Amino acid sequence: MTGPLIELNRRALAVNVKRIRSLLGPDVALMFAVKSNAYGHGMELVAPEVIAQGAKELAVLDIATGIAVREVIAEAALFAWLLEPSDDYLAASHHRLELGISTTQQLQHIAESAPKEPLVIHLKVDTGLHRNGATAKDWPELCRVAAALESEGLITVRAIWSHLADTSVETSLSALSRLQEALSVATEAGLKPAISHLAASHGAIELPETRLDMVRFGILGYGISPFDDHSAEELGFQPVLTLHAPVTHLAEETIHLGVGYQHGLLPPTAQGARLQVAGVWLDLVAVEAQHTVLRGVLPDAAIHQGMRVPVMGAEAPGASVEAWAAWTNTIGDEVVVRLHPDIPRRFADSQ
Amino acid sequence: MRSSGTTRPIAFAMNRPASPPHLRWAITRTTALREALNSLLGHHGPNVHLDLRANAYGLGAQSVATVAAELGFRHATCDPGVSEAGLVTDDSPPDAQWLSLAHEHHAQLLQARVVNSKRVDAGAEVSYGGEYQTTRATHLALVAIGFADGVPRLHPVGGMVDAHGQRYPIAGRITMDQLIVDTGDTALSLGDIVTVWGGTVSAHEWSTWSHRSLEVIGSGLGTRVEQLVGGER
Repeated sequence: MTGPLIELNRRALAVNVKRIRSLLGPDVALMFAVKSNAYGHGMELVAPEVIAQGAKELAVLDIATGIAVREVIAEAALFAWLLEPSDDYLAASHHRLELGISTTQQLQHIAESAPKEPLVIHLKVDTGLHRNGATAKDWPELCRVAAALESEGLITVRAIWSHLADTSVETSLSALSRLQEALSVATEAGLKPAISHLAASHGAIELPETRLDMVRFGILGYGISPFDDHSAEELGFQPVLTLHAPVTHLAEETIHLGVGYQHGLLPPTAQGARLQVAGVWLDLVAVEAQHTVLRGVLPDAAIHQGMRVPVMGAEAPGASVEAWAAWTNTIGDEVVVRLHPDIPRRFADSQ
Repeated sequence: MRSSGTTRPIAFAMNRPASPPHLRWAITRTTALREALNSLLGHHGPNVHLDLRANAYGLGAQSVATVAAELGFRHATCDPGVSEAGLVTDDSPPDAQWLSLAHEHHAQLLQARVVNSKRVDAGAEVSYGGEYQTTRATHLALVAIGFADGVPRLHPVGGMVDAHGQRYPIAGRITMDQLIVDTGDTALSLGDIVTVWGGTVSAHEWSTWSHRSLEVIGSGLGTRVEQLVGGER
């Protein structure tokens, strides 16, 4: 082994999808998020696997990503919602993407693109995150324009949706009631959306009433906790990813592992980072361009050049993604999405 | 490891590419890059061993190598697959001082579009965790770039970006794919271009805010960020 390698645990991913399914029950659908290269895990591996495990819908972020996922997944619903007003709606239609729409301008551009089949739309209302979504003031007009386009056969409004701020139970409940108000406005405008969705991992666990008809599962599906005070394991989820790297240099009390910030690792800013190598704890003293420097008392002969060391994730004792997040002053999401796409990835059981 | 990618040359003026991508991109400005490398040449001569790994830390290894070779530099370390006549590696450790100078000269613009724009009242909580509250009625612009694209997730929240040559504060938490800008009395329009760094906000400031080196930041530029090359200011 000469460079870093990411291995995925297929069984852990299956456990997580099953855990979500049992949490949600038969009446709530699962949308699994594979945006950002499946949270750094590798979209081309993860997307087919979660579909094989029974997920019917994937969240892809934008049209370009949706097109890339469609190359891999012929038949699932693929949902994109980060759209420029004059984005490539014809391509979205051609690849049968479903679009999250926040503005009347986007609807007008969709109409101008004249899709051959009605584009499937999820209308987004802002329920307090103040990110995407129409404000309460703009919402009636968005619904009116959508209803007009639906009657012309250009779109089908399948869903009303929003996004929680995950600030507190109170703000989440307030978001839920704003979504319900938006749904009645939509109904008055003549829309008949089949579903509503609001929660992602955090909200679905914290406040079951926000699950509605569908939950968008991202980070927790990968076995990484979105909570400060609960590990993923406590919630019944298992980490999927392990980042491995070879020993590339061995000296008296120092070893180098062949992975560095050029591969996407963040250098620790907090004290206390350490890794276990051949059963021995070594201090992680630096993340450099192409290697990570460890220091400590090395056991005789147990460590050798080229040996593979788990650096982060499921199989790295004390060095979970969450631990790396704490060492680097961020959250697990940023730690994993930075892992460079050129690092080889595979399922551990497919060597 | 990182391929030099398919950087495509593009003509643009006023920071606005002629046919830019839909959501986000980075432009390497070769004129500014040339000025930066020239200044390095003036101070240290042509034997500096240029560190152009990680796709020249996001600036495009091929673009930087070409300009460096034209100016007479002799030594560079690049990722496999990048080569430039006249540049060879040598035994000294590769040096990334050029990168600091390049960002001082604003040789890279990291840009993204506004995808939503709204007016909100005072007291609105913005982004995850409600860590930013508007103190007056204001305009918020949603920008299609986030930490998956290599914008450092600042903690505590903070930071600034540039729109139309003005500096504006980032409102609350930078998320995986998006950030929000508080533009006060100014309303940005859908499709407007926001410059994360390279305009009136520099990459050096992002390095200070995030406690991350320019090399670390540049190594994290995501593949959704299309690489463009522009010659003029």
